[in-house]
Amino acid sequence: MPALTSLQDAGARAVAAVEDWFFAPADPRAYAALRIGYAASTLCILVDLWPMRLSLFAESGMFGTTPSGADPYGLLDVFTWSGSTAWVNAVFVVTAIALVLLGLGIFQRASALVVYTWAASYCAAGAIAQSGFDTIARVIGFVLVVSPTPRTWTVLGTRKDEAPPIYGLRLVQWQLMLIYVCTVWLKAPDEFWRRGEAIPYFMMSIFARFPNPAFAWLGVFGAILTYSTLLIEVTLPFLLWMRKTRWLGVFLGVSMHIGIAIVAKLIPFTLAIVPLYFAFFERRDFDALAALVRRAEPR
Amino acid sequence: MANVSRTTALGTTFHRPFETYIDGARLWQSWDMFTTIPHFHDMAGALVAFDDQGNVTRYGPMLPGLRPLRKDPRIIGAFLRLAFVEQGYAAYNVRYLRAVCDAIATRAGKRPAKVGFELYTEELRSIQDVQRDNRVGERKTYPFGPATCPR
Repeated sequence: MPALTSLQDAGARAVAAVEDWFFAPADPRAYAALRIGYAASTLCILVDLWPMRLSLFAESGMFGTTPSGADPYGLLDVFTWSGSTAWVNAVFVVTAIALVLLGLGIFQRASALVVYTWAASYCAAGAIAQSGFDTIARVIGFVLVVSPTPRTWTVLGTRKDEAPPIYGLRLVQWQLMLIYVCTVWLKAPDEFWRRGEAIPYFMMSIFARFPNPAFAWLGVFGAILTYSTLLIEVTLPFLLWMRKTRWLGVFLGVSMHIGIAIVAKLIPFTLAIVPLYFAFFERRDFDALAALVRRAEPR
Repeated sequence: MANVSRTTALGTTFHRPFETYIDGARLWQSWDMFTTIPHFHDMAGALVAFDDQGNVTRYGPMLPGLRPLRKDPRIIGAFLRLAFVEQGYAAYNVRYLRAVCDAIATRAGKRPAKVGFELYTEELRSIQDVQRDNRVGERKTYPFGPATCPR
């Protein structure tokens, strides 16, 4: 019997640990920062996509009207409803308004639902032109639809003693970890990444902002850049998850993504991924940030 | 689960219980960007339209308007998939052919018999070759088609 009791105790502790992992109270500022960052970055993605909207989603575009009925889950794909220029424009404008409302914290869940529907629709209709930042817009949009919607940092004012459950932030943490771990898993066997030449080649490619033959002479520095990219990507999730190394993770990750935005034509990816870092922030991290801001303010 | 490869010895066993959720919630994803180096230093393209008499006219590949290829990573990615990736994008090739045939018919006043596509590239040369003569790319044209225009 004692063995059975200890087994039950262990089971109860495991259940409590899982409950705590997903439903412990979170700092509402983490949700607020994620929401505002997501709204701002997704608005930038929308603006970036605007000149290509007719090419990709209108019946006058490169692929005609998106066929409906091929995908059993595609009933809510708004670009299968109509391919007219007016409809495509209207969808983009309504989404832009929803993004502004989401950023301001007005009708948060409804706004998130509109944005998620748009992101899921354009990713389905324009899968052939999809990038990583589109995936982030779609997946995090879904997370925001199902996450708590605290009133912190909204134009509606803050409700006192808000302590929303942490599960939405946990989903974003897992998502960020998956992005980095999967990309390293796929890059590591590649001969150019292994030889330390991936960054010099990238810097001469069509995706580089300043492609130049000078990058062929990077030599050891090119290898250091290549290997350190892999090292940062593989360690980031763990650095961010551990309190002691969180700020190091933030510094390395944000520096890497700002670097990518400067040297590559991939600004939307940097904008999309950096707000996800807020999902790791706890009360002490926001307090430290607030203290930093107070110190920086003129007396 | 969406990121677990379906081509391993594990097969698709692990995916099945989650497929309804992933597809229904539109959570499919793949993080394979730049898992190897980009192959091109530069890229452009043109549609090659043939009429019934075999006369050839070239047009820009972007619709609407048969404009030149837009050098945006999103559009570059789309054309690279159209040109080189069969799996998952075959339906886009069919739709693109129909759309460009219609657009050329409107512009020229007559439906072309066939339309092909030429992808003009500057392929990245090896680091050692670039160091030798400072030339980053090697010009290469990839022809596709022509395919008969659907009626």
